Formats: sequence, structure tokens, C-alpha cells
Amino acid sequence: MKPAGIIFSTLLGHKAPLLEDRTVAAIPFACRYRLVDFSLSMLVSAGVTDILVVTDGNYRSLADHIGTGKDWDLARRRGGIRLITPFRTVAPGIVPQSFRGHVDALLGMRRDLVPMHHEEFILMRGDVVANVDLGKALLFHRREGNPMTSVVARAETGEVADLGIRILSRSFLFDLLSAKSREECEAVFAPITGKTTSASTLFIHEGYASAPTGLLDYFSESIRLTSDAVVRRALLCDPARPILTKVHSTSPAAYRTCDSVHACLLADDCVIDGEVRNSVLFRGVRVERGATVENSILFGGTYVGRGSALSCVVADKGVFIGEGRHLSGHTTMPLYIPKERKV
Amino acid sequence: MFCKKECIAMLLAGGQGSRLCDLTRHTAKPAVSFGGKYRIIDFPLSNCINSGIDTVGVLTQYQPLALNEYIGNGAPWDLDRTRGGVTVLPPYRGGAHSDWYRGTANAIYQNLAFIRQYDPEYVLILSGDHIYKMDYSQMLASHKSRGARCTVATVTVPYAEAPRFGICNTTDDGRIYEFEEKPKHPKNDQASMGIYIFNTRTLVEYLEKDEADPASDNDFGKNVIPCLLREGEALYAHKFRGYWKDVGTVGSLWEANMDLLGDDSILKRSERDFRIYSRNTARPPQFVGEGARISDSMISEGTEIHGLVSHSVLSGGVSVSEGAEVHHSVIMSDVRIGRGARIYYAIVDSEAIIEAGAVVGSPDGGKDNITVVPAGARVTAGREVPV
Repeated sequence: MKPAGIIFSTLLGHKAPLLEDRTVAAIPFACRYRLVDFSLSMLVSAGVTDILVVTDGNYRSLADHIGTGKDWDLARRRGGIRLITPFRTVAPGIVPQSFRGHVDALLGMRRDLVPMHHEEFILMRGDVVANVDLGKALLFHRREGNPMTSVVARAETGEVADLGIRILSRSFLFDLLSAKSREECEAVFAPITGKTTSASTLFIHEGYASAPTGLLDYFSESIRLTSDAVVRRALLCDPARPILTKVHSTSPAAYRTCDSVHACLLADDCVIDGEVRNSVLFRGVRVERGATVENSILFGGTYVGRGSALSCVVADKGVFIGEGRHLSGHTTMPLYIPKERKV
Repeated sequence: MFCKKECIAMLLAGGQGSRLCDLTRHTAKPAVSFGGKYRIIDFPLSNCINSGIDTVGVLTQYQPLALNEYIGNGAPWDLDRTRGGVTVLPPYRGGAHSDWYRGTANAIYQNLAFIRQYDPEYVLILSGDHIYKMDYSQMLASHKSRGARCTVATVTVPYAEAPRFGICNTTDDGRIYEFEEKPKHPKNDQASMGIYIFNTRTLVEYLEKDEADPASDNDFGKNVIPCLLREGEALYAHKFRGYWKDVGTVGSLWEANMDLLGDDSILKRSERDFRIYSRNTARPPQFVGEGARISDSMISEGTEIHGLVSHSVLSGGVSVSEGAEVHHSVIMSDVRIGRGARIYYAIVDSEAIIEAGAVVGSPDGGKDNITVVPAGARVTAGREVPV
């Protein structure tokens, strides 16, 4: 029997401006995805069809994005995907405004878990960018027979990076939720660090992985995709484990001018009439003639007027940049423009 | 399941499209790729749902596998409904009147039982062969207000091309008094689009008449419409104003793709409320490499461009290697174009491989000189595929 999946978008203390009005798993990434698509797709590729997505506040765009789950083949009569929203009772008489982290969320949703008779649960962060073979991780978990397996990535130095992915047996999870103290629960999610030996509780993912924790991280991991073909292909172009996302009905990108787009990732519905270099353009971005965009990330619907110049800019959705504007950040400090701002 | 509808659509998608040669050798014409991420049938299907018609029968016959799979349950066009929705209607054995479809009228005749399920007042007959955006509800409104028994949608064509079409000669109030099929000397420039709205009773009556006539070719344009005229039925024309392209030949299919590259294309953003929907596969974003040179082109997701692309339309998953050049061409899904290969004025069908150094077509090509590379073909290095 396949395990169930639980994806958490319930992080405390994330200070990135990208979270102004969206939960962390809804942060757009790489032209056409949201961070949750990576966890969702990893689960779907491993054959998991029962998935709970647990969110804190500001979940409207996440809910819109997931919809019925149709685009991940998760609109099912048996199982499928469900969004768990924050208004649940943790203790009698106390209604929290929002889940405060994974443990709070788990304790709050215990009633949702009881009827799920899966042998294993895969708990994941909703903001990790990776394409882990969870099918292999699951086999490893079953073979080793431990109550919990953690999935980590390994850097060249031998240091591990915790991907926030835990495979738990049902009995271990319920034991945690009913019999253990809050501290013991917290310990399950405590980040794993240090160098590995071949621990039987650790499944090592040898490929790319990141979990951007702030604007700078987010910026550099995004721009990296424009120059690192190996990472880009491993992450986004694996035919065996595609990253699925919500489908939009928009037309292909239109290129007007000559020879002026280099080292870029683009989504559908862009109209490019200016120069664009080393940048990531989401759906429906328009760059007018005479405008230059470099080392920048432009979210959906951004408009860059004639003669404007952007460098190291992260423009949120629907930003309008008029004519002749010069906006520049730096690779160590990108300039963030909030949603729908007119410049 | 019985479910009353005012108007349902019957979409004729069974034709071979033999003038599209290799492009339709293994697939029906409506399933042919168009505009990077669409198929021809996306246009009539999207027009239906955008016009408020949520019940569509799609009549397939020739090489229907790709088409049936593509339509599926109709979800991309919002046609996956419990009450109505899209139904694929292939010919079948077993009934007294069932057999391979012998013509457009016969195909509808064999599916009258499907139509009766919805007890509609009106039936809209469409073909899956054309690129256009049309609000059929306006045609229905005009059909009702004139008390017509049948309305034919017409479009203005250049006089020089009129002999290719069925021409409708009308009085000032739009009533058709003469219908000439492919006239040598056309009297006017209003061509039938092959789109009809019938009162259901009229449709049934004339289909039965047509079936009973052994000399008939069982075709709407050749037989049923002329019969309605002879009987003096109220037959009206509804003028369509807008882009309409028959994509039945290699040249016109190529040209329709090229038409998408202008500012005024049928897919332009100002027509967002009347979107064309299509079934999308999960593809990564398109990547444009350091050495890429792109101009005046339309490129879909999942592509990787490292070479030159000029005045072309590329579908999903196409890769253009360094030094390769694509000019004035339509490249369909998952084609791989090797280093230094050159493609001019061509349509390259899905999954073809153009190896390094190969040359397809010629810089002297044009609408009447389009090279077609069939699906899955491998054009080897140094080889030239002539026009």
C-alpha cells in the first residue's frame, strides 16, 4: 500500500518579502511553478495519491493553485489532495489563529489522520526545491525497517543538508501524537546536521536540493538555473519524474526583436521586444523595445516599458515599470518590487 | 442520461485531410498540431464552450487514435460534464442504420439517437478543419430572430478564391436564394464556412430525405442545403467577420501558423475572454541559451534554443542545437535539430530528428513550396530534403 503524504506550509519566522501575502509553499519559482509543486510532484512520482497540504495564513493563492488537484491527477474519489487550513482546536477552548510550525499542525490535525490507514506517512516541507526519488527512499525505509527515515542531501564536503523530508511508520507517528511530549515531537523535525556515515535512518539524495530561506537565497537559486544546465535538467527535465503544476491556457511566448534573449528561462505568454539576459520570466511578462533586463526575476504579468533597464531585480506579480526607468540591485542584494507596484 | 439542452453541437472530425499528405498519414486532420501548443480541433471546441454550448458530439472516423486520446473526457475545454459535455462518436456496427460514415450528412444521420438524448431545439453543425474564433450564440440569436429553418455561416473570401467554396447568394435581408458549390463564375464573395444551425425538426426531416435518396453523396453542402433551397425552406446566411482560415493544404496550414507571428494574430492578448484552450502536457519552461538568436517567432514550453530561430513557430520539447538555423518554418513537438542543420520553409512533424548538418527545404521556398518532414523521420547528416 502506498504511503500518505503531508506537506507543510507552516513556517515561522520567514522574513522574506516574498511572503508578504502568500504562504511559503505558494512562492512562485522557475517561471511556472510554486514551491509546493516540487514536494507534490515528488510524492506523485512515487505513486502517493493521498496528500494533505497543511497551511498557515495567507493561503488563498495556494488554494487557487492546487484547486481540485486535477493537474497532479489528485482529483480523486478515493484519496486525492486536501488542504488543511489553520482554524483548528489544539486544546479544548483554544482556537489558534494559525499553526505555529509542524508540530502544532500535526497535533491540530490528528482527527484528519486517524481515518488514514496508510502504513507510512511522508512528511515534507512545502518549500524545498529538489527532485528526490521518493520511491527509492521508500524502498530504503522499508528495507532498513526503522520507524523513521530522514531524506538528506549530501554536499561535496560530506556535510548533510536536511531536506525536511521524513518517512514515518504509522505506529511511530501516532505514538508521537498521543504519547510523547511536545519536545519529543519537536525533536523529530529538528534539522539534521553534520557529516554522515552510512546511517540506516538517512536516505541520501545525491542530486541538487535547496530550500531558499530569504530573498537572496531565492534570487541566487533562481538565477542559477539560467547558467547551470546540469541542475536545470536534473530538476525540471527528468521525464521519469516531471515537476507538475497548474495548467494555464495561454499562448506560447512571442519573440519580436532580433537576437536579444540570452541565457533565460521563459514561460508561456511572454512578449519580448527588448533585451533579456540571465533572467527568469514568468507567464505573461512583457518587455518592450529598448528595454533591457538582466539578472532579474520577473513574476507573472510584469510589464517593462520602453527604454527601461533592470538589473538584479525581483519583481513580484503584476508589477508595472514605465518607460525609461533604471532599477538596479546587486547580486548580493537584489532589489525587490512588491506585487502590482507601479514604477 | 436524459438532459434537456437548447442547442447542442455536432463536430465533424472524421475527414482524412488527404491534402495534408504526410501530416495526416497516421492522424486525423483535426488532431494536427497548430500554433505551437494547439491542435486544429481546439478552435471549434473552445468556440463551443466560449459560446455557452456545453454539449458537443465529435464524430471521428479516419485515424482517430490521436484525436480520441486528445479529446479524452473534455477537461481542457471545460467539457467534462455530468450533464452534457463532450462525447466522441465513432461509427459502429450493429444497428440497422449504422456503418462507416458515408458523408457529412450521413454521419449526423447515424447519430440522431445521440442528438435525441438532449432533445435540443437547435443543432449546430461544425467541422474541425478551420482556424477561427466565433461566438456561435450570436449566430443562434440571428437564426431565432429571423425564424430560419437553417442558417449558414458565411465569410467574405477574395473573388479569386471564391471558386473553391460553396457560395451563398442572398437577398438584402440575408435570405439565401441560391447556393452554388464551387462556381466557376461566382456571383458574390460570401463563402459557406461549413457551419450550420438547424432547427432539429428540419434537420431530422432533411436527413431522412437525404438517406432515402440513393443518388445522394450524403453531404451537407452538395446535397442537404440544395435540397432545403429547392423545397423553399427559410434558409438564411449569417455573416462572420473575423479571421477564418481553412488549413486543408500544406501551404495554408503553414501560412496560418505564420499569421500568428503578427501583432494582430488570432491569439492576441486583447481577446483574453475568448481563449483557445488545449490539452497541455507538463513541460519545463523554455530555455534560451547564451548563443541563441531568436526573432519574430513563437516558441512553446519545454524547448531548448541554442541556435537561430527566425520567423518560425516551435512546439513543445523542440531542441535547436548550436549553429542550427530555422527559418520561416513550423516545427512540431519534440523535434531535435542538430548542430549546423538548416531548415527553410518547412513543416517538421513530431519527434523527427534533423541530424547535424542536414538541410531541409530551401531559402527560395514560400507558401507554395513547403517541405514536409514526416513524424518520427530521421534526416541524416549532410542530406538535403528537397522541396
